[in-house]
Amino acid sequence: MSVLSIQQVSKKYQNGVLALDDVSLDVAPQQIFGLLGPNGAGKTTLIKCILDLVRSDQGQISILGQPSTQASSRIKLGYLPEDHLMPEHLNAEQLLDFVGQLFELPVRIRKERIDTLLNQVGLESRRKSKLKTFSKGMRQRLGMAQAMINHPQVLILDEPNEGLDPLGRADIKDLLLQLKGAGATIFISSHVLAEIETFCDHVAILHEGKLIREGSMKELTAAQDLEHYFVELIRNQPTTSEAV
Amino acid sequence: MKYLAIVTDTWRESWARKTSIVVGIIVVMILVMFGVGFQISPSEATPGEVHIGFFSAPSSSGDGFALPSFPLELIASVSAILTLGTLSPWGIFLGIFIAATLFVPIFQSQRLYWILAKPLSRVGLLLSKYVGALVLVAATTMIFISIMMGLIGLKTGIYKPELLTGGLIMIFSFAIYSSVALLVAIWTRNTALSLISTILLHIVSSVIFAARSTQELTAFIPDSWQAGIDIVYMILPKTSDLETLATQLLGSNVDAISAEISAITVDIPLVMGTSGTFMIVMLVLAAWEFHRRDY
Repeated sequence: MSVLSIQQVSKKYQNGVLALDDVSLDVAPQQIFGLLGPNGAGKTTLIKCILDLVRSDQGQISILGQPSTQASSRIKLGYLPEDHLMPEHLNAEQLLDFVGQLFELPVRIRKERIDTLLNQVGLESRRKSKLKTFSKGMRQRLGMAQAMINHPQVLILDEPNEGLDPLGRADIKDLLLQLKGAGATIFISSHVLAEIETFCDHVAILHEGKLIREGSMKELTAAQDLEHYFVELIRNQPTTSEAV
Repeated sequence: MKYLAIVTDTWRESWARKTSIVVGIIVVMILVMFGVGFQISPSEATPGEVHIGFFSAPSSSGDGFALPSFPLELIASVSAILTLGTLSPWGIFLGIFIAATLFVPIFQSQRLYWILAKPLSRVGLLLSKYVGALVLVAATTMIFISIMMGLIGLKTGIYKPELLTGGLIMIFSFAIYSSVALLVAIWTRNTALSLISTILLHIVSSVIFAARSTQELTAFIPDSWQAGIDIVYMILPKTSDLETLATQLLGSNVDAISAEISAITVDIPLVMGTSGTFMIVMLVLAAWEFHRRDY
């Protein structure tokens, strides 16, 4: 059974832009699945459809066998948005505690996980600092921590390396590999192809709302590295003016 | 637990805002000024009446002129009416201001991305935010009113439990206005528009109320308009009727107030029923818009 199943999903925005055109994907358990595409390819729209932030016009999406339109489908899901604002009236510890309450975790478990996660993302010394004092990189680290507070079986990350320095990127990569080792499935959208190549098992490439290639990393990079493969593939695609 | 967490986070966010601190300071100042500054002493000339003073001991005569004396019951009623008068409309709009500044940022896409990805229903999230703001304002109002009731009782020996009923009526008015603020916040994501819409609602419902209940005004309104005014009156929430009802509760013994106010008949089931229905319609529309919108 696939952990994440996307079947014939299409989405046209009110301004007429066709963001997704009949996209189908299946993500197997314990995979690190990379979603690639140039700017405006529909990656973020697809992720938002998975999370029911955006309602697709047609098609079905299920998470761990449950329709994504049901709130309960997100109990075992973690999500780091690309461009997000966190409530600035909270400090790091309060934010994680609040998110833990949204998953209805008991107090004792929340405390344990907050300590562990703040250590893992390197923010232990800033646990009492208000979020308004955090840099972009620190917010991204905290974003990762909040995405993991429920020990997710599926983790969806939209540009997780955005704003991170090389050390932060290395930390995130280590975290993802740890999570994979613990049995989690990771669905990741990123522009940094060199990094995607080092830890993704499977890749899907979107272009102008259409899925143009999907396969294992080994298959796609058999002849050349991912970046060259990707550039060549996109350059050889016919373009349509209406797609995002 | 998850929806309770959203309610309590709404309070935490509210307290973190400077507006709430300013409101808190104003409330404390009013209580201190009334508690410490407002002083009364029995009139020697007229038994049962008292002299009043502010930050100075009252006596039967000032510097060269006599101070008037008032019946104690009148002092208690006027103090109670002024307490509610402080809350309405200014207190309500202060509450609306806090609510609107809370609602709009919460329903911005970038803040919703990560919270909507949690196992929450959108309607549950919306109602939790609304209830959070409502409970915050209700608690503040009732604490303020209870302290004022205690202070009036201590100073005059007359306790006015009607103040608590008046407070509940004011909270109902706040609930109606904030349902409009919430709907506009979701539609427009604009704090100014959210505030303006509630102020407009207040103005329109006050004008309609005046057009139906003030004889000097009704005389000038053409008969052909009357049906239209009645229809609008039936649709809109009756916050002016609610204010009148609260004043009637407290001011039955105040001649200057009772003559004018008591003449107005407030149909309580109609006022409560139609105002409550209006509030529920606003909340349903807000929930529907929030549920169907892409973020």
